[in-house]
Order: sequence, then structure tokens, then C-alpha cells
Amino acid sequence: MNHHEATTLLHDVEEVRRRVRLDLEGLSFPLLLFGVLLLGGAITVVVVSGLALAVYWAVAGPAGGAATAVYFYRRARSEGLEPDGLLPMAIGLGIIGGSFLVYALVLRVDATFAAATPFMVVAAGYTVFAVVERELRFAGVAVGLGLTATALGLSALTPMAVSATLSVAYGVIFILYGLTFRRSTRDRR
Amino acid sequence: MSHPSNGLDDTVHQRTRLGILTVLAEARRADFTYLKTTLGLSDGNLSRHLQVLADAGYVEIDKTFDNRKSRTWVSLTRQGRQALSDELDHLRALIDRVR
Repeated sequence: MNHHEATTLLHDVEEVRRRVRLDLEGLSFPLLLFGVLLLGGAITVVVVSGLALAVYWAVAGPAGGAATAVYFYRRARSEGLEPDGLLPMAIGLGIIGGSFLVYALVLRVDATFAAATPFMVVAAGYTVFAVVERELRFAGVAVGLGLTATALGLSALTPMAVSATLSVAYGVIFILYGLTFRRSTRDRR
Repeated sequence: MSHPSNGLDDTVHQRTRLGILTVLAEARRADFTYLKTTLGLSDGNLSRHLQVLADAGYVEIDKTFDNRKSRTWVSLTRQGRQALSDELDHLRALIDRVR
């Protein structure tokens, strides 16, 4: 085998990898779904109450996680390509469980900071997910969102204002990126 | 000094089989139709190469039934993943020798 043949083979391997990774692209659905749920959360906390927001996420969080799992399962069966589901599932469970746990712990200390902590956990989870999906730009955005949540948690805003602001910010950014990933995956195929 | 091409595994060092292992390395498993479409192969051609890989212990073939339709899923074994990694290392070493 000569240098040229080796180079051509490696190039073919990279091309196959690129195509399979496009087919496995998995960020757009959870971003779109949870983006919409976050906007719903913003409406809930403003129109109803902070307690209603907790109830909302106690239902919407696991429901959204289940819907995401079902989406990936059905997509795998229809496309004939099954991703490794363990890590995304662990990340999802970590986000949902971690958000409630951290909120409950921090609430004893500071209500405003507690309102921001679920958003920090979400940002951390999506950062890990984005790195796994090799979407480093979105990982950077997720880190930025986490820092924003931290800043608002340390501000003089009320807990309700922090929740509403971050819900809208996260919701809009998640939806925009979800749409961007869907379109760029189609374009790159 | 041994030449990098001396370490090539003939089972893996074949364009189609290398392509099959590459697809499987990126996912938990892929079905026959996905492999056929992605790699542009005929049924017979793909079956033959999958058998070679299965005989070498590099892939596992699992036939299931989905809504009464038979479906063949293929996954990479640990030896297959190592064989693919070794092949890619050899190819890169070949390229680096010339640089």
C-alpha cells in the first residue's frame, strides 16, 4: 500500500464518519422541546406563582425527558441506526433530578440564588451534551447561559423575576439553536 | 525496521469492510438496510463482507422481528473496535513516513 492509497482510504473513512454523525445528530429535538417548555415555565411563574412553576417542572421535566427518549427510540428504529443512549439518558436524569435537588438545598440559604440554580444545572447538563455531540459552539453558549444564571442569582432581583427572565432567555436560545441544528443537518447531508 | 504496511490486518484492510466497521464504531448498532444505503452496496456484497467480519469476531449479527418483518442488526465487538483502531493507526503511520 502506498501513501496515496492510505490517504484516500483515510479520507473515505472520515467521509463515512461525517455522514453517520449527521444521521445521529441529537441536539435539535431536546433543544426545541425544552425551549418550548421553558417559555411555558416563564408564563406559569408570571401568571400563576413560583409554587406553580415547581409543579409545572415536576410534570414537564420528566414528561419532556420521556418524550425525548421515545423520539430517539423511534428515530433509531425507523432509520436503522441506534446511538449509544446511556450517556444522554444519564445527562437527562442528572438535569431533571439535579435541578430539584440543588434548588431545595440552596433555598434554605438564599431564595434568589435558589431560583437561578436549576438553570445552572440545565446549562451544565447541556454543556456536557453539546461536547458529546461535538457541537462546541453550543457548548460555549450553554456555558454563557450558566454564567448569566449565576449573575442573576447574585443580583437584587426577586426570585420570580430571576425565574421568568432566565426561562425566557433559555427558551428563546434553545429554540433558535434547535432550529439551526435541524436546518444545518439537512443542508450538510 | 518494519514497514507500517506489514501490520495491516487483511480482514479490515479492505475498503468495504473498513467502511462497515467505521459506521458501526459511531453507533451502538446499525441495521442491514442502513449499512447498504450508506455504503452503496448490494445485498449480496454486504452479506458477504459481514460474514467475513463476523467470522473474524469483529461484528455481531442479530436477526430480530419487527412487526413480523425480519430485521438484521449489526454491532461492533470489542475486537472489531480494536482492529479498526489498529488499521487507522497503520494508515496514519504510512502517511507520516512520507512527510
